[in-house]
Amino acid sequence: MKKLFLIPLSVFAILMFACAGETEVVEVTKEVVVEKPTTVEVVKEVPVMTEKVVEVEKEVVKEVEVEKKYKPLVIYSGRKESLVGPIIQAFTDATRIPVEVKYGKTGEMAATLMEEGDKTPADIFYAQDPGGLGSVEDMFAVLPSSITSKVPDWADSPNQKWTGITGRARVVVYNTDAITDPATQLPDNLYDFIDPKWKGKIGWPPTNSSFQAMVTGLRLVWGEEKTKTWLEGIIDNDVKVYAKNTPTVEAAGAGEIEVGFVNHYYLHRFLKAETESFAARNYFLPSGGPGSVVLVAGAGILEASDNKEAAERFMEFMLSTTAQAYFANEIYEYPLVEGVNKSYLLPDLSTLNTPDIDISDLGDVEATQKLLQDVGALP
Amino acid sequence: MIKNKFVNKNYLWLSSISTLIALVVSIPLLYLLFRAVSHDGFIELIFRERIFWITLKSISLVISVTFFSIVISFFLAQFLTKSDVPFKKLLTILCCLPIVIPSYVYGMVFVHLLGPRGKVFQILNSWNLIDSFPDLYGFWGATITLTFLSYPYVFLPLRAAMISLDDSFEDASRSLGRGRIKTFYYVTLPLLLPAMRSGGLLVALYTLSDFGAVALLRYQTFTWAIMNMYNGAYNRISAAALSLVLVFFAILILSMESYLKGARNFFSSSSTSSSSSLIQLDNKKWIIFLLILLVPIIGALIPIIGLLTWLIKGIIYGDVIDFNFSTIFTSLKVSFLAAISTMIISLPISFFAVKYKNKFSLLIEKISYIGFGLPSIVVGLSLVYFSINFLFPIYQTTAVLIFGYSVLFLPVGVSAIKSTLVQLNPNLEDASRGLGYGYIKTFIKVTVPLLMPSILAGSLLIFLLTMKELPLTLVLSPLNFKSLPTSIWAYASEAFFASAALPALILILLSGPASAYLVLKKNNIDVRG
Amino acid sequence: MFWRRYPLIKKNSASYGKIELEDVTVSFDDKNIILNDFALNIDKGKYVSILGTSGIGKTTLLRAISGFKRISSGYIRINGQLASSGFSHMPPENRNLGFVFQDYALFPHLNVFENVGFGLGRKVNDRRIKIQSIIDMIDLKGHEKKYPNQLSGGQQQRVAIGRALAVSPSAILMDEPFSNLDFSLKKILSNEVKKIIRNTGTTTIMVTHDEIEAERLSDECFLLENGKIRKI
Repeated sequence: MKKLFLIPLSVFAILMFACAGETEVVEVTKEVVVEKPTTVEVVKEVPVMTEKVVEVEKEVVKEVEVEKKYKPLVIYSGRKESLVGPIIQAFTDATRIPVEVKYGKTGEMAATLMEEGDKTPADIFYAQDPGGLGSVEDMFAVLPSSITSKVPDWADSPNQKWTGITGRARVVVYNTDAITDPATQLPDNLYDFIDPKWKGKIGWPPTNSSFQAMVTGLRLVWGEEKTKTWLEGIIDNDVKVYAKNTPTVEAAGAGEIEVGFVNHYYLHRFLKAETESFAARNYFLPSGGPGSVVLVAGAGILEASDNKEAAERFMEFMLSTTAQAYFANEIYEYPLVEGVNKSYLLPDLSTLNTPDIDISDLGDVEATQKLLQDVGALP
Repeated sequence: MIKNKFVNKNYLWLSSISTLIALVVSIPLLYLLFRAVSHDGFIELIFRERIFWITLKSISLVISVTFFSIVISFFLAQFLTKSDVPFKKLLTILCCLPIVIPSYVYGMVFVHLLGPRGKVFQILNSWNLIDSFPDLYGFWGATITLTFLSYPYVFLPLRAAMISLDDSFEDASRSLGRGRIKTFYYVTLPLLLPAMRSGGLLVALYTLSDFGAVALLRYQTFTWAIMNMYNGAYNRISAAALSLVLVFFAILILSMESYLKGARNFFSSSSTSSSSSLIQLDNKKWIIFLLILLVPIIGALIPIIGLLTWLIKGIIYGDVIDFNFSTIFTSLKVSFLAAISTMIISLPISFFAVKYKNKFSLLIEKISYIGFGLPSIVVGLSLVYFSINFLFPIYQTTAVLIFGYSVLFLPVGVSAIKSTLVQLNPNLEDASRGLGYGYIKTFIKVTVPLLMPSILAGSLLIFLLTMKELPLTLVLSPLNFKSLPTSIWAYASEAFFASAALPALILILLSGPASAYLVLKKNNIDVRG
Repeated sequence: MFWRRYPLIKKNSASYGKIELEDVTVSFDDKNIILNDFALNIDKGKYVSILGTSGIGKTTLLRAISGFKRISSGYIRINGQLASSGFSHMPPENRNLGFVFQDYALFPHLNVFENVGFGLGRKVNDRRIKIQSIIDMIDLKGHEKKYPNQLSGGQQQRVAIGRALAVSPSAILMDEPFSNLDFSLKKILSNEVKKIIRNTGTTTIMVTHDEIEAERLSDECFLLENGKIRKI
């Protein structure tokens, strides 16, 4: 009878087996990297602003280091590997600091961090949007001003706990078959989309955090009443609800909807995949206002991190001209650092006429959720 | 059947092991309670009109998907086991294929091809054949998608039940004056009910928890509201409170299942002598053939074609298609380990539930099902909390990930083993014990070999489910972990379709043989003795 | 029902309980002919055995009579009415025949009472009393609530006979009814069954491979060979 022990035992054995397999891997990655003192040799290619791929990997930044051991830097990334994988690799190549990344959705990574609390193995949390960063702000350490000073004041948190790395503009994506002359056919202000002539022609992704950040922006600039009127107006126009940005842009391209409220860079992926024939373009609202607010993707260093030095170097690297040029040219986001040019495909940040909002204020999602629930955009 | 139910060492052992497993498996539930308690406005959050409507939407989706899954499975199983439809074996394999398609991939491709302005519309429209296409968004789109993805959960056990169903029962009923319809209602249906119930239960819970396909098809369910709390509101407490409501519905479904008529388990005492009289379809043969073929076309071929077009288009336009071959190995490894460990913990639970039928064992069995009805992200986060606090040394190792899969997929293993175990003639085990083998030896020498086909089938099903599981993988995986579903997600959600298509196709390709085995396996052991 | 496709069976008619087969041919896939130009007449109340080696088509013959199998040509008349021909086919549920299967085919989800009462339908008058009297007749009083898997082989056999008799069939067809029983039980039970059937005066066709059993029980014996039948 006692042999029934076998069952839990073998479960345990299997777990151990799986576990053992893992620690092996961990050991490999934990291999200590020892940098020998070398002469200073900073080879920096000035990124050429062409459509061509800027091969950041080839850029080598070597610095003098007194013999130093690096623990691997642990990053929780709410941004997909397809976007930030290459630049993280470039960081390792440049600094010899090994990096271990956990990719996931920003919301889920933030929730994971909250569950882990002080015990988190993460050193850095790299999030899609200010809301994600704001939700774990308590867990972040204050960043040195050498890092935060690199970005404009509006693009980091006032208490210096996290900083924006790249900018992403809110735009109206429109179908080019239905709207041949956006300048005359589209209103110059987000508010005017409540006109009944847009009935059945609008799409939005209300659960998307960038969208909710935009609504927060609307609340800050327009006030609660006007925002509510606007939301109700759009809902009365039978707005189509999409799961997230990508399907909204796809729907605009296919002509399911004529206009959609999304982030600007998704269109460029479609243009790349489907070529110029993809029947949608971005419309940056000329009158500015909260409809064309520029959001940021950013990062912060966890207070619980025992690898803060490497983490700071990562932050610095992300705000270096190299990384910023990568973001601008490869994934069409707005660089936030002075001296790095945006992609030639995008309008200038200054012409966007963005409203005077501090980005960290956009992290206040609770009231926005409440409002979206009240008007029925969210359950 | 039940011997020495009380004061029995075996009972004590089995019950304590099962209780332990049930406790571990109810970690997500305990976590939710613990989180929801700390929520101030719990009542205000839950008892709102909009939550009511969205609940109604979830429930109606669960009902319709379960209903249509059973209808389709019945149609398929009936003709694929009892008629002379051509290419029966091939069709059967094809009909199992949809189970390998991840729902987020299916939703994506479905909208891309069959949306109101999708590719099919565009092509037909460019030939001036049509100028509008049915709007498949919303309830019906979600129903179609989920039905065609999840019907194999019903089809597989139903097919097995139909094969082992003795034709003479139906003949007997008809000779007693009951026509085809009444025979079906009074004899066939009750005899197939256990198989339909266990499959239908998985479909219902799966529908309740699915997020990917439902969101892409623009149908807002309860899970959609939960995901909004995580990804839009960054509010995991509210998410937990909402998930608790989902648990309530899972429990409701589970208890409804128990009260369905025909709950008696039975094994027939004599071996079957199926008279194998196949329904002669004659000239309708090819119509039925095409109708059957339509099911895997919608369920598997459409997504495969969609993925192939993305891939080919990407290659033509010269996209750089990133693919990391080690992801294949990683996926296979974790899926394999998950299948084994899940089956091992399924054994005591299903034994306990079948051998000692009482309220307690029933409760334990039901608890094991709850994880399946929760969005897997909830299960993932609860295990993050649990393992970082109580299993820290192995936190973020493959072990915890496997553990997570086991919690999630336990009901699949339990239902696979249970379906055969209830038919197992206890005389076979008694015979072994009469020959001097002890409980353990009997278990190893008689019971396990007899159950092997269903253990294998269950493991394969879990293997397939693990292969495509995404949210749990993202949350619980070790650092630097890359598997096929994470690669699909990493590219697809950023609209790099060509790079997403390759791992998706490989995932389907690798899962194919496993699903073929599910069908082709010769169940030549008659456990009824 | 105000419209009936098949006429009501009149119990007092002269041809009630008669089974007539005329030039019957049964084949599988139009190739393998099982029964060839087959003729057989069975009178009311007779107990008839059909002998033959296994696989010769005995079961097929029973299935053709009971309507589970269509015939290629010829005529089968039950109670004087045409049941099967090369052109028409009366479904088994309309033939009013009792069938006892080799493996009994007791419904595993129903208990003894429900099994016996299965053919009676819900609307039959005095349903409960009828079922109970059958159960008494087959000597299974007190076992009403048991399920088939809780019964012994002999008990199962009797339930199968009782279930077939409950619908007051014009004839009862038995396919190797005693083959699953051990020797001593076989003898006792077969006599018992014969007695039960005799009491009801029902025409009986029994298929068996056991010559002694056939001779002992039946009024007439036939041998099935090469698709033909002859009296012995």
